[in-house]
Amino acid sequence: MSLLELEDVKVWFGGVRAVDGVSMRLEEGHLYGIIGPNGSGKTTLINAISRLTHVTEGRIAFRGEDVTRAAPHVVARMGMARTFQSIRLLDRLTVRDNVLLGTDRLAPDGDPAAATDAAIERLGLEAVAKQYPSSLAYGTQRRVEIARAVASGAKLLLLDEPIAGMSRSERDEIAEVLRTLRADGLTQVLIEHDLRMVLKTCDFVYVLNLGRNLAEGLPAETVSLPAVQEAYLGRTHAGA
Amino acid sequence: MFDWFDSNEALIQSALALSILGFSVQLALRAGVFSLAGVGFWAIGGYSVANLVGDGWSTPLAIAVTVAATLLPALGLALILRRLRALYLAMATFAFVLIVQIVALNWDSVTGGPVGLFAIPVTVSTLGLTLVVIACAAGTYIWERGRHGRIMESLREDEQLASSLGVDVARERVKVFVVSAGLGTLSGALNALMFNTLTADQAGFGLITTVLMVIVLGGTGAWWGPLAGAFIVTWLPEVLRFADDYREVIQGAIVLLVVVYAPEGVVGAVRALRRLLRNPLRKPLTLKEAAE
Repeated sequence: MSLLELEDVKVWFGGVRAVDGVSMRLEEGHLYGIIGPNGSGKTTLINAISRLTHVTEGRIAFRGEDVTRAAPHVVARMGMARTFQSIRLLDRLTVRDNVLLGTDRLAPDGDPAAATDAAIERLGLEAVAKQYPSSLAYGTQRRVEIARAVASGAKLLLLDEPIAGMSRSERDEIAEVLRTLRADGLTQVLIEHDLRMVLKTCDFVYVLNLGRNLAEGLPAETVSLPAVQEAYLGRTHAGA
Repeated sequence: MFDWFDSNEALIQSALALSILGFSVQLALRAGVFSLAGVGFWAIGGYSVANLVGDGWSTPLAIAVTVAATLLPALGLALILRRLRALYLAMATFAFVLIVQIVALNWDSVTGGPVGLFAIPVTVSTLGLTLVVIACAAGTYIWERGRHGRIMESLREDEQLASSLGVDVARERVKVFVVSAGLGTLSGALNALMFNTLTADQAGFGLITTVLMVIVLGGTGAWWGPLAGAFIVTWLPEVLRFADDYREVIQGAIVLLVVVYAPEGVVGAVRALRRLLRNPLRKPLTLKEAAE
């Protein structure tokens, strides 16, 4: 049984076919990349998987259960956590409380404080744990978002451009964090524009274009496929 | 000190009773539920205990039964209004308050009709009221510091985020609505048993305006907001007595200034000051700087 299965998933907004028949199969313990040019449907797909967007057609199964029509809080409680493209932290809560928020759905026998402290340590946020998000630099706020998702003890982590706005060294640090999470067995889906990051971290990539599967496979081989190059860079004309 | 207390006891009682209604509305607003239904339940609570105590019930029993009995209609109302948000919810709950007021004006045998109820037995003391306010403040303090406080914060700021974190948004909103209604009922019950009169015009637009002023001036960010707001709103007319006919104009101007320059009320102003003292340059901290 795969951890997450998508069968011909379609998300249409009126006449706009944001996702138009995407299929995927994610196994436990791997780090998957979803790449594609702007407007290829990556974020809409993640919204559909986390049930924040309706699914027009198709089927989504998580941990063997059909969750195509499930409420977002139901899939979250089943063990799916996510970050957002734009930072969504609560400014009235400290960094620690923001991370604690991620643990509030832990089973009654879970230890929210321990999970929070572990996530804060893992993301290197000890020095700012008592600060409020608005007083932190952009890259640090991104780390807090990731820590909140990690603290939840999720089985599947959906990361929507988690390194956007970070410096090169910060990106490398986050890449290292994602690799250690994978080593711990956490399945992750990384939506990313930075191909260098994808090549460095992902085990397998799916390429989307115009809301459809364009290619899939090992990162280095897949990004060098002519169809993928064309989708990213545009068609090259002989003699041009 | 005792002289001051004696001459201001009525104001203190008013502020304390108002603060409980403030807790009712603040709780709802903190979870992003713009409900004014607490004011309607304030009237229901008042009329109910006035009749029960008048019939010989003991005060604690009358209050407990009244609060418990209003939870079911509050749940029904919450379910009916569950899809409404922001201004639409405010308008719907405002309509509920008007309906309660009209019923009160016409149900003479229970409410005394337009004349109202007089000579309600005064069975609640200032000490008793203070203890209830302390219990409400302590409850809010514990609530806001724990899991529920974080969940309320996420509900108000970002429902989509809350649901992605496993929060059943619809269920939590209903829960908050019902607890808010219960506090409104409690406030009305204590008010009736303290000031011995209750008329239908007390529970209308005027009370909504007053409690919103409590929230605006006090702030929604912490447990002590309704307390600060209630005392300011109660004392402000006294402090501004020198202004005679211009008193209400100045009062309105103060509210306007607070809304513009301190939109989170006294609570927000104190917090902003604290943050400024902690990070005077207001420069975003990097991890390296924070560690130094």
